[in-house]
This record gives sequence, C-alpha cells and structure tokens, in this order.
Amino acid sequence: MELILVVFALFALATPFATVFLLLRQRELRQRLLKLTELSMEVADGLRRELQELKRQVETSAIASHSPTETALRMHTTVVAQVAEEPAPVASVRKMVDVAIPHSVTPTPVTSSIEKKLEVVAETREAPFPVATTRVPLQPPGIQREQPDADLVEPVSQPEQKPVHSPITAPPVPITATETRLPSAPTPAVPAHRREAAQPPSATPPPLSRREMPPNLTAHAATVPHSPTPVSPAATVRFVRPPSASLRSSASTSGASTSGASTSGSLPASAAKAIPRQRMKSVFAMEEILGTNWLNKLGIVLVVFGVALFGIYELGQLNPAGKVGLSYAVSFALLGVGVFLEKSDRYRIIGHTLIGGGWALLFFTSYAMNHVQAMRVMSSESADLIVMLAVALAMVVHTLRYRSQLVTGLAFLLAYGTVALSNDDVYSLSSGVILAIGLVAIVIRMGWFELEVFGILSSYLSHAYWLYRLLGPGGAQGHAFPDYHASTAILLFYWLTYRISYVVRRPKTLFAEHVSTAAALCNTLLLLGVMKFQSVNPKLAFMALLIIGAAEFSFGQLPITRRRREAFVVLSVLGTALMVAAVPFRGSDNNPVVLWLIGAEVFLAAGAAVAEVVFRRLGLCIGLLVGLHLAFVDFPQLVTARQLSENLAPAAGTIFGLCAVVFYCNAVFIDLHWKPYFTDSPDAPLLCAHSYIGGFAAASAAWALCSGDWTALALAGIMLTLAALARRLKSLHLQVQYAGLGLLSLYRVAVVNLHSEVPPNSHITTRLVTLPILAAAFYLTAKFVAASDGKDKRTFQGLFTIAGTGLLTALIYYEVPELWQPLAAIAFAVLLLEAGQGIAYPVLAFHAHVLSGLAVLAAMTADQAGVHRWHDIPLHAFGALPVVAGAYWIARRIRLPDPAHVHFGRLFYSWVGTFVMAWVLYEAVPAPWIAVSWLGFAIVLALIMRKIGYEPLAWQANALAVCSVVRAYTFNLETEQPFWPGISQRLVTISIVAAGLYFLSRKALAPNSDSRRAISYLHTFAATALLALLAWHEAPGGWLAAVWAVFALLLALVDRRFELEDLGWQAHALAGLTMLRSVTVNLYASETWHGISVRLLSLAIVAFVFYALSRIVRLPEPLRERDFHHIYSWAASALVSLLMWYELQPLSVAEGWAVFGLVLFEYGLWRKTKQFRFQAYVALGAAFGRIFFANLTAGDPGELWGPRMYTVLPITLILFFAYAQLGPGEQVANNDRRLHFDMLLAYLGTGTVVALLYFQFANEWLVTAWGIVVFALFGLSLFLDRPIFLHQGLLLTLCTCTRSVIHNLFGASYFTGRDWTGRYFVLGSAIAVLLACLPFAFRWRDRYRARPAGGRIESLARHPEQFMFFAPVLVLTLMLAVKMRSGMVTVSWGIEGLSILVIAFLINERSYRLTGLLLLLVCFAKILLVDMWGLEARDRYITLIIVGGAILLASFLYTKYREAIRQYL
Amino acid sequence: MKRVAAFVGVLFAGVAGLYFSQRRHEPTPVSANAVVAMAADAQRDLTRAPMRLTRLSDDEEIAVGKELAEQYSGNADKLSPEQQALEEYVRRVGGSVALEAHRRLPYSFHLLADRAMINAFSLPGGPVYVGEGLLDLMTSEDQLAAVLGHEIEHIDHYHCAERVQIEARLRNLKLGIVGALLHIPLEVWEAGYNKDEEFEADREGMRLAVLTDYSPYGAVSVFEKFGKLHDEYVIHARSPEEELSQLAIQSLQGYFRSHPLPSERLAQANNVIAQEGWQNRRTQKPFRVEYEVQNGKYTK
Repeated sequence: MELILVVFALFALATPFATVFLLLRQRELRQRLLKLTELSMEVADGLRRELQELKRQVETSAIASHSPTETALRMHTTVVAQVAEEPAPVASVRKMVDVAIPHSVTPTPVTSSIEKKLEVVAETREAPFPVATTRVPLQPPGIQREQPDADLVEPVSQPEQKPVHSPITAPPVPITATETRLPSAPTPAVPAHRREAAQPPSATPPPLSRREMPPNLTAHAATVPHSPTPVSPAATVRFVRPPSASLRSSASTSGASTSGASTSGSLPASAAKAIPRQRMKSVFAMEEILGTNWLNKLGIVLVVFGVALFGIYELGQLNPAGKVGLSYAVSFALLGVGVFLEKSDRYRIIGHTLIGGGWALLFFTSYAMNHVQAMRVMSSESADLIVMLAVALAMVVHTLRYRSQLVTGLAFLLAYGTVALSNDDVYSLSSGVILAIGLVAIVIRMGWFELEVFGILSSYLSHAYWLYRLLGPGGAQGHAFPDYHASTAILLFYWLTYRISYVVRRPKTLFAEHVSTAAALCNTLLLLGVMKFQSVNPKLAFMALLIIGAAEFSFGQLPITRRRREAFVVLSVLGTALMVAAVPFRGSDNNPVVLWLIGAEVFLAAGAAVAEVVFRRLGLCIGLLVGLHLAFVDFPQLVTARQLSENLAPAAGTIFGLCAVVFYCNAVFIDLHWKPYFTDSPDAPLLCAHSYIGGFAAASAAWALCSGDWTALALAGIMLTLAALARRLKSLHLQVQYAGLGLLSLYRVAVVNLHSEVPPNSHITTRLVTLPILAAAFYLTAKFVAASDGKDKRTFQGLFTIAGTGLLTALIYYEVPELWQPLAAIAFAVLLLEAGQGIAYPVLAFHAHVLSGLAVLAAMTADQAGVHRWHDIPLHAFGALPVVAGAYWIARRIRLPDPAHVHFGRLFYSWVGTFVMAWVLYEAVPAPWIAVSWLGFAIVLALIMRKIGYEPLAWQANALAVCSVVRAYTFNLETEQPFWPGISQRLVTISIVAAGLYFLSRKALAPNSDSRRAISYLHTFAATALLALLAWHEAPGGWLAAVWAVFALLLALVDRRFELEDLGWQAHALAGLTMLRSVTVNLYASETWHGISVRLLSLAIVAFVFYALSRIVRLPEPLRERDFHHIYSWAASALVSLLMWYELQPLSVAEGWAVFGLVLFEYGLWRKTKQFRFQAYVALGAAFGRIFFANLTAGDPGELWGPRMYTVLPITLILFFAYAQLGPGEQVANNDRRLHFDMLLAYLGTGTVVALLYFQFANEWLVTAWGIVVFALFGLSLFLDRPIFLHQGLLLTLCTCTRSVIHNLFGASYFTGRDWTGRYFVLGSAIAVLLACLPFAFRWRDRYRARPAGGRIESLARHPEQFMFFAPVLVLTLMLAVKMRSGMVTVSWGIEGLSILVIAFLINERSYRLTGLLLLLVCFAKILLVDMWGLEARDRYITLIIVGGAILLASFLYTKYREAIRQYL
Repeated sequence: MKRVAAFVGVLFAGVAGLYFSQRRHEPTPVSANAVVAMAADAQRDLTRAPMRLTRLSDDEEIAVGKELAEQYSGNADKLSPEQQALEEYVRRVGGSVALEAHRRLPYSFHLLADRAMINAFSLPGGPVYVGEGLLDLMTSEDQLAAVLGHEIEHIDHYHCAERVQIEARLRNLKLGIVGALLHIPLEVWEAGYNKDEEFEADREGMRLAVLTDYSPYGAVSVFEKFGKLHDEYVIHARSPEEELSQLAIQSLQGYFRSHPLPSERLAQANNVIAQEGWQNRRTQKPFRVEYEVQNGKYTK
C-alpha cells in the first residue's frame, strides 16, 4: 500500500509540472500559429496584388516580341493569372510553380520584387532565432525552430529540399510543405492544377487539415522527391506537427487557402475577423486534443500500471510464471496492436501510445522476473541485467524507428514508473541506471531535450522513493546506513551523466536551450535534495557544496561551454551559488560576512577586469547578500545587545563601520572608474542597493558606538555630513539616506530626548540643551537642501522645517502652564504667520495654522473640570476668548499667494471663531435657555450678514439654528417645570424656538445661495415637527391618529387653496405618521365609544381620510403622473385587508384575500387603473402565502376532497384566470407584463399545484410526481406556445433533481430500499421521466432558433436540451456514487462515461460528448487522488484496467469519428 | 362575453370556497406546520448527507449512549416495588421486540417514575426510556410494544446517532471527550424528531411489533389516544395577533419538535395495515403486570 502511495505521490508531483509545461508549450504554439496565419494572410494578399499587377503588365506587353524567355514567362504568368483570378492560396501557387517552372526561367524584374518581399518576410521571422542550422528557403522560421513535443509531435523524416531557383517557387505559406508524412486524404492523386480546375470557382470546399491533405499535393509543393532513407538528425530539419488545436486552425487556414477561391477573394475584409475565429476554433479543438491525443495516453498509463499491480500483488490466482507470461502476453499484444495501428494514418497516435506502453510493460516484466517477489522466475542478477539491457536496447532501437518522442518518452517514463513500484534493494536501481544511459543516448542523438527533463525527474524521484522506503520519511538524519556509498555513487553518476549530456549538446534553437537550462537546474537541485535526504554527516555539506559548486563553475568555464552563452551563465551562476552557500556550513564561529565581502570584491574586480557582466553581477549580488546578513542577522544581534544594556558594542560597530566604508568606497570608485559598466539594469539598482547598505551600516555603527541623549545628536551629525556630501555629489539616493537618518534622529528624540516620563513643568537640562541644537540642525539641513537644488527639493526642505518647528512646539508644551497655553500657542501662531509673510516663506504660515488648531484644542481641554470660576462662570471660558480674537485676527490678516486659499482661510477661521463662541455660550448660559441663546446668536449673525454682506455668516446662523432645534428636541421637550401658572417652560421655550425658526426661514438666507428654498423648507419643517411633538406631549390619547389625519387633511386643503408647497409635504408626513399610529396603536385598541369600537371608528376615519387624500392631495405633476397619490389608496386597501383578517375564519382568510384580489384586479382592468391591479397582485400573493399557514394542512390526512382542496384549488383557478387575462391581446396590461406580473401569477398558480403534491404524496415518490409535472409543463408549453411553462419546467427540474439528491439519495432510510426498486427504480423513474422531456426540449431549441434572442431568462432557456440532459445525468452519476459498492464506483462511472460518449456520437451532440469525456477524466482524477489510496488491491487493479480500457476505447472513438468534432472547426 | 362568464365562474368558485370554509365548524388551527414540515424536511435532507459521510460507528454510538444514560442512572434506586414491576414488564416486552431490529445493539429499557410524563424517548446505542404517565394511558401490551418498537427504530435507523452528531456540531462538542455530552440537555431527547423520522419510526415500529406477534392495532389505539389529547390541548387563535404570536411560538417549537399530527400518524398506521394485510390481527393482549412484594421488596 505504501509503495503505491509513494509512487503515485511521485507521479502527482511530476504531473503538475508536466501539465504546466505542456500547456505553456501548446499556448506558445497556438500563438505562433495565429501569428503565422495572420502573416500568411497578409503575404497572400500582397502576393495577389503583385500577381494582378503582373497580369496587367503582361496584358500591356502583349504586343511585344516573344523571345524564349518571355515565352516561358508568359506561360508562367498565365497560370499565375488564373490563380489570381480565383484568389489562390499559397499551395496553389506552389502547384502552379511545378507546372510553370521550366528549366531555364530567368528572373524577371517582377518576380525579383516578389522574391525580395518574400525574403524580407522570411528574415523578419528568422530574426529572433539565430541558431537555425538548415535554412529552408522561405520557410517561416517559427516552424523551423520548433522542437518535437513529447505528446503532440511526431518527428518527421523530412526529405532534403533542394534549393528552388525560381524566386516564385517558394511562397511564404510553408505549412503544407512541412508535413510530408501527413496522412493521405481519400481523394485521388490528381495533379494540382487539374484538381483546381475541377473545383467550381464559387464553391468553398471544406477546410482540409494537414492530415487530410493529399500527400502528392505536399510532395509537389516540396518540389523534390522523398529521400528513401531517413537523414541524420544533424542534417534533418524537423518540423512540428502541431497539437491538434493548432493543427486545426492552421489546417483550416491552409485548407482555405488551398482551395478557397471565395475566401481569398475576401481576404482583406476578413483578415481582421480571422484571429477571433481562429481562437474560437482552437477552443473547440481542445476537445479533439483531449479525445484523440490525451485520452489514449491516460488510458495506457492506467492499463500498464494496472497490469503491473496485478503482477506485483500476490493474490494467489496465478503463480509467478503465469503472471510473467500474462504480462508478456499483454506487452506483446500492446506492441502488436500498436504496430498494426501505427500503419494507419488515422490511428497512428494510438498506435504510438500502445507501442510505448507495450515496451514499458515489457521492460517491467523483464525487471520483475528477478526483482519482484510475486513474479520471480529468475534468480541471477547478471542474467536479469542482460535481459534488461537487451530489452532496453530493443526499446531504443524500435522506438527510434518511429522517430517519435511520444513513443520513446512513454516507454521510458512508464518503465521508470512501473519499476519504481517495486524497487527493493540497491541492485534494483540498476534498472534506473540502464534507463538513464539509454535516455541520455537518445537525447544526445535526437535532440529531445524535453524528454531528458522527465528523465531527470524520474531518475532522482525513483531513487528518492527507494531511499524513502529504506530510511523513512525523515531520511537518514545523520545515521549511517549500509547502502550509503552505493547510493551516493549512483546519484553522482546520475548527476555526471546528465551534466555531460548538458555540456556536450548542441541545441539548435532558443527554446531547446531553455529546456536544457531547466534540465541543468533540475539535475543539480534534485541531486542536492536527495543527498540532503540521505545525509549521514552534516559536516560534509560544506565540502559537498564547495566541490560540486567548483565543479559546476569549472564546467561553465570550459571552451565547449563558453560557446553557449546560456550554458556558461547557468553553470557559472550555479557554481557560484553553491560555493557561496557552502560558507555558512563551514562549522566555524566566524562571521561569514567577511568571506562574502571578499568574494564580492573579487568578483567585482574580475568582472571589471575581464569585462564580464556575469562576474560583476555575481559580485553585486554577493554584496547584496552581505547586506541581507547585516540586516537580518547582525543587526538583530545588535538590537538584542542594546536592549540588555546601554553599553557600547565596539565589535559590531567595527563590522558595520567596515561594511559602510567598503560599500561607500565601491560606490565612489565605481562612479569614478567603471561607471559605463553599471549604467544599465540590474547593475545600477544593485549598486544603488550597495549605497543604501552603506547608509544602513553607518547608522548601525553610530548606534553601536554612541548611547543616551547623544545618539540623536550622532545621527543628526551623520545626517548633516551626508547632506553636505549629497549637496556636493548631487546624489538623490544620499538625500534619501540622510532623510531616513533624520527620521531616526526624530524617533530617538521622541523616545529619549523629550523625557516625557517626567511630570509636566519639570525642568530638564539635557532637554533644554539638545532640543534647540537639534532644531538648529534640522533648520541647517533644510538650508542645505534649499541651497543644493531647486523646486523638487522643497518638500524635503519643508519637512526639515516642520521638524524644527515641532521641536520648538514641544518645548512650549513642556514648559508653559496649562491655562496659559492657549494664549501662548495662538500668540506663537500669529508670530509665525507674520514672520512667514515677512520673509515670503508660506510654509511658516501653514505652521501657524497647525498651531492655531493646537490653541483651540488647548482652550477646550484646559481645566475641563471647571475648578477655577468667576461668578459661576468657568475661567476656561475666558481663556478661550483670546483664541476667538486670534481666530478673527488671522481671518482678517491672512495673506496667501492663491486667492482661493485666502478665501478658504477666512472662511475656516470665521467658522472657528463662531464655533468657539457657541462653546463659550454653552458653558456660560443656564441649561433651559441654551437653545434660545443659540437661536438669538443665530439671529444676530443673520442680521450682521444682511448688513456687511458676508454670506458665510448666514450659513453659520443656520448651523446654530440646527443646534438650537436639536437642543430643544433633546432637552426642552422633556422639561416639566412651570414657567407661569398653566403654562409650562416647555411651551414657552419651544414656542420661542419655533417662532425664531419661522423668522430665520425668511431672514437667514444667503442672497446668492442656491439652497434658499431648501433651507426655508428645513426651518418650516422643523417648526411644524416641533409643534406636532408638542401636541403629542401635551395631549396624548387614542384619538391622536384621527387628529393627525384631520390636521394633515387641513394642511393639504390649505396647500391646495394657497399653493404653499411645503405645507403639502408636511401633510404627507403627518399622513405617514397617522398610518404608522393606526397600525401600531389603533389596530389594537379595545375601548369603545358609545358602544362602538374605537378601532373601527378611528380606522374608518383614517381610511376615509386616506381615500379623500388620494383624490385631493396636491403633488408635483411628475409625481402625480407616476401615481404617487395612490399611496393613499394602497394604505386604504391594506386597512381593508387587515379588517378581513380580523373578521373572517382562519381557513377563509386566504380565500377572502384571493376574492378581494380578483375584484380589485377586474376593477383595475375596467377602470384602467394599474394601481388597483397592483394591489390585486399583492392580495393574491398574500393569499398564496397564507395557504401555507392554514389551508395546506387543513382537513384529515389522506382525504382527497376536503378543505385543503376546496380552498386551494379556487385560488389556483383565480391565479391562472388572472394570468390568462394578462395575455398579449390585453393592451391595458402592457405595463403589468413589462413588470412580469403575468409571470408572477403563473408561477404562483403552478406553485399551488406543486405544494399540493408535496402534501398529498409520499415523500419518496414526490420526485416522480414532480417529474410528471415537468413533463406536463413541457407539453403544455409546446401546446400553448408559452415559454413561461418551459421555464417553470426547468425550474421544477432543478427542484426535482435537488430533492432527488438530498432526499432520495442521502436522505433515504438506511435499511429500506435495499431491493432493486428502492435502490434504483424510484429515482430511476424520476430520471427516466425527466429524460423523456428531451424530445420536447429539442423541439423548443429548434423553435428558439427561429426566434430572436429574448431576455436574460429566455436566453438561459434557449437550450433546454442541455439542462434536461445534464440534470438527470448528474443525478444518475450521484446515484451510482452512493448506491454502488465503493470499489466499483469508478468502474461504473467509466462505463457511464463511455456510454454517454457513444450516445453523443450517435446523436452528434457536442456537449453530451464533452460530458462523457469529462466523466472519463474525472475517473482518471479519482483514480489518481482517491482510488489508489483507499481501494483494496484487487479493486484497484481492476479499476485501473477497466477504466484504462474504457479511456482507450474512448480515444479510439474520438479518432474514428474525428470528422464529427471537426464540424465546429 | 366569454370573459365575463369566466370571471363570474371563477368568482363563484372563490365565493363558494369562501362559503364552505366559513361554514366549516371544525376549528382550523393556524400554524406554521406546512412551512415547518418543509423546512424540517429540507433541513433533515441537508444534514443527512454530511451525517452519512461522518456516521458514528456502532461502538462510538454505544459509548455515547452510555455517557448520556448516566444522567438518568440515579432514577433507578427510587422506584417503588410496583414501579420496579412495571420496569421489568417494559424490559420483557422491549427485549422481545428488539430481537427483530436490524442492528445488534445492547438495547435496554427503563421506566421514568413520573406520572406527568406522557412520553418515551431513546438514546443512541440502545437505552430506551418510558414515562410512567404514558404507561398509565395504555390498556394493552400491544400498545406498549408499538411504543417500544417506535423508540427502538429511532435507535435502529440512526436517528439518535444523527441527533448526537447534529447537537455536537451545533454545540461545538467533541464526541471523544468524556463528559462533553453532558452539555446536551435531556429535553433534546425528549423532544422527538422530525416528521419523516417519526413516520419511519412509526412504520418500522409497527413492523417490529407485528414480527413479535403483537397486533398492529396497538399502535392505532395509541395514536387515537394521542389525538384526543391533542384536541384537548390545542389552542385556537381568536385574532390575527394571536395567530402571529402562536405562529412564532409554534414555528420555533415546531422546528425542533415536529412530531406529525396524531391524525397523520393514525392515517399512516391504517395505510400500513391495509398494505400489509394485517386487518385480521385485531386481538390485543391485556396490559397486565404481576408482581409480589416481600418485606417491601419486589420479588417477581
């Protein structure tokens, strides 16, 4: 079990990398092909224009004499002209060339121009890839540089192409010429020009893929005969057979251009649309990639592993010889079938897959004969080694015959995987060595560098797995084990083998070089990882890293390596990194910084001396490493030491100082001598980082060598030094560094120098000494900044000035008494303002603003307890008066360059003055009269505003009025004190406030304000609200709602008479309050008046008033047009409904509401008043909701006709009747339909039926009942042509499937339903009924095709066949998962997926096909993630073999019915 | 004209329904039973999937049941001789009925000496408790067999185990920790289960009783008694606000205690009898307890 887990863990680790690599590869190929297609279109278009021009010239020169050369040219151009008339693709041009090129064609000027253009195109494409070995004339280098892909690429033995001398013989669309081994299409080998002539010019033939393209066509295109023997790899130009997606897109493009008389005619117009279409096709082609290319690989992996597991586990069915024989039989069967299928073009990929799997199984069987206990039939290591070598040799020879990386790669990787399942001793690793040697030989010979990456992974991972089994999850952990030396030797052998392979190779393309780089990195990293895992002596790590690093570095300096720049860089960097990493493992207590610093300097010097950028950058990076060590190792140690004591740290200070000196020297010398080497990225940023490391080291050194209050001074000193240096060198980075030092100094001041732990008003000598010095330092630094630069340094200058001012402000704060601080602060602010204005430095004025704010804060926080008083008036109120005066002074004196700022400053300071004055009133005036005093102050401000014309005073008056209202509401309304006998203080103060508000509503309005009307409204509303609240307090009672209603009616009548708009709105507000009061209070009133219920009377009055208001209330015309006045009729109807609820029996309420809704609905239709219809909809909805609380559970259980039926069914009738009235012929109800009320009614009607079924049927069978309703809804929708019932059917299908899953599957009883009916029939019947709706769904899809696209819901329902398929299939899949035996779930899913796939191919439905494909992929994923970890051994290999076989069959189907997929391409 | 006729017809149907419902003399309780039943159904279904995936093993369930049963252990010492005889009678009937259960669990049967307790409940792993008040209502042994079969089936069909899982999840309890389950109040077990589970327990409990040679009409008579009790204690609202308040209360209570209405349980019992062809098995054994007291102790 553990064996399987780890092997699959290894595969799981390798699979993401492989997948990501292949996806990236496919994406790159697709992008290249898209670009190539676009380029081909452009070139074809240009060629067509050239040919038309050629035709025109030929026609104009028809009268010229006919020399032999001209004759040939005319023959040529005649054919060209024909092609041009039927806009010909490139392949046609090639064919034409075969006919047209005689033996002695001399280039004409026209053809020369064509050649020139084509060469330009070819050069443009070749430019990024300078390593091309064989140049094919006019072959796009994007093709030439491709390497075969492990899965998708079939290396083709490309016959050498003779150079074509005619300039026109190589048109720049080479795709058809590259695939000489493409499968033949069924069309006979007709000469190209005859076949073209046979095609009708107007017809657009289906696009041909390259596989379908006749071989003779490509042979003609190549213009040379095939070579009967394969050429050597070095001389072979391998072309890509792109993945199917790309193949489809390129094939369709080339096919179109081969025969596309119509398409090429429209090339210019369609060129822009081509790329999106191509992309869409590439998306469709993903399925073909999966089906024809990936599935067979997944399947063969499962089958091979399944058979191997069958052999490994001793299950007792067969003896070892039988297992070996059976395994050999399967291997040879796979090989035989693979060889047979490989001969067919269509099944070639499957054939290759089977061959690869067969060889892998053969190798495993040979290995297992000695090393697998259950299959052991041989006991000789050497004999088995010979057998494995023979099989490996045969595998290499046979697979190389196909020149397919797929075959070879699959064989080797599967061999690795299966062998790793059963490695038991160190001798069993010999199989890995054999495979590695064979793999490297193939890689060097064929140039399949991608394969080597997987080989490296397999070698090291299989070895790691062997170590894991031997040592456990923790590895050796320093304990020796017997096989250590053998294991180390094998690992070093792996590393050396792959490293030699890397050094001696000759990659021909950039991509191949990149892949090689990945292999090189994997080699070293995996070696280190595995060696770490088996490490028995950690002290050897230093030597190991140093030796391997030196070896890597030495490999990088070999001449053969230096010819490949990337290899030189990789190995040099790798070696250096290993050597640098070795230093910390040296086992000494010395700080590695010194060694690293020396290394960095050596590399820097060497790089500068030999002008090698790699060495320079390595030096810079090592210096960066030094900085990181200083920051994250040495500096924390310094922090720890200084936290313990204030003692100096001379050792750390020395290290930091040395580093600071070295780094600053680097910066200075490099700047003086080698600056050209360090101007580009990343050299310049790295050098800049060195400078910052120097600054960091200098600051750390200062901290280590100084303590106490003097640290801040030391930092300030360095800051000043750096500022002077920066001023001289004009260095921005130094400026940043001294700014940081300034921040550090400030932080130090805040923490230490301020001595905030001492109580206020205490005299501290060092504070008095250091703060002024530091302030001076900051002011001086600000002066350096200002002197050294221009505008862009003002920010820096300002910050340093702020620091100076802040230090002085802190000094004031700590020295001046509390009550005098507002005066001192405002005085300092005024001083700063005047000084700033005097020296024309506005920054000081801004400092004055901050100090003003501090003054206000100090005024309002000083003596908050009011200890100091004068005649009950607190002294702090007087202390605030200078602030008021200062604020008004600043508002008057403020001068700023920008007038807008001046305006804002005056506004702000006047507001501050008013605010502080209001605060003074609040502190000084008795509580009940604060509101009145504020209102009086507001009136004064309003009058002053009217006199001096300064509008902000009006706003301040309004703000004070708001404060007054809030105060009156929160304080005065609760006041119960009498002011005069019979008159309360509340009545007097609130009346005064209300009167003042009415006054302000006319007087406190800014003359030029746009808000005059709103402010006036607010004042009158506030007054009315205060009066209404006053009434509530003075006369509460049950009749208040009626009083308010009548008051509202009076306001509405006055508004209607005198057109006082605000009164109308106040009437609405009162009406709202009345409604609220009626619902919350009057509805529950129980008292009577003269024997009549007060509730009935009051609600009757309110209802009457509301109906009256709905007619007489005055509203703005837009609101009236939008029926806002019907709010009152809504309220009245709501009251009527409430009365019905109170009066009727509980069972009858829903019925009553439904009848009431029906009446309202008909009345609304009759009077064409939509609001009554809307009220009807609400009533009907309420009736629907009500049945869930009274009607559905009424009566006796099981009775067919009872109160449940005779109360619910009439409601259903009413709902459907109302729905029928809203048909398309009813013009009045257009608005209702627009708002989807018809849908609502239909859904409610169906909902009643569904709910009835829910309470009428047994739970298990409910899904079937609902399925029948779905069937009926589908039929009804088709019969009535009403899509809404289709939508309901879809929705109910969703409900049915959901219930099927959660109730019938997971909610079923544990012990019932074990028979076939319980397990499958109930749910199966529901699934069958749902699937029976598919014919209806397909008819709806056809019907929708003839209709324009509708709304969002309809657009979702335009393909009901999808939903009606996927939902039941999902339930079926879950049913299999839940009800099948756990070991057979994957098998049943695999069979289901294959069945769906077969059905999908029969009815040609792509989404169904994708479902089957997806299900098979899920099976594969489940096997990988679940089954391999949890199933019993027998179930496991049965699952692997059966699902693998199903996947292989699916791939066979995809290959066989490939044309069904290509209809989308 | 057709439209007017259709309107009149529909209006007539509505008014007729209104008329008949107003004329109905039987009071119709306004409750959230329908909504609660659907919600409880949905809640049960939604919880069943995770419950199935994390089901307790039988050993775990037995351990949990023992820990829960310790809360009732002090009751046994206070039984009078008559109550001891009653308990023995319950054990005998329950032991015979439990032989036909699906799961082989250590079923045990106990009497709760409280005449006000007209209820029975079960705990995970096998303990079953019957209130003395419920026994006072019984007139036949078949009725007792039906009640005990019902409670056994709550255990047998994992209702109790799932309740433990749900409560542990809701209260963030860890089942493996001793004493953690004391945080689950006993009312949870006395409250009953949702509608489906109660129906299942009724149905399967009747099957157990019949397999043990008891009459299915014992269950019928028990449900008839429950129906009478329900009619006596049901409250009928007189105003909408009473309706709303009752709805709120019933919704909260009903969600956790959604026993089906006795009429529904009675209807199901009659249906099962009709489907299984048990109409001839009407004869019921009398409810008879025999015991002797010697020196104040129960001896037989």
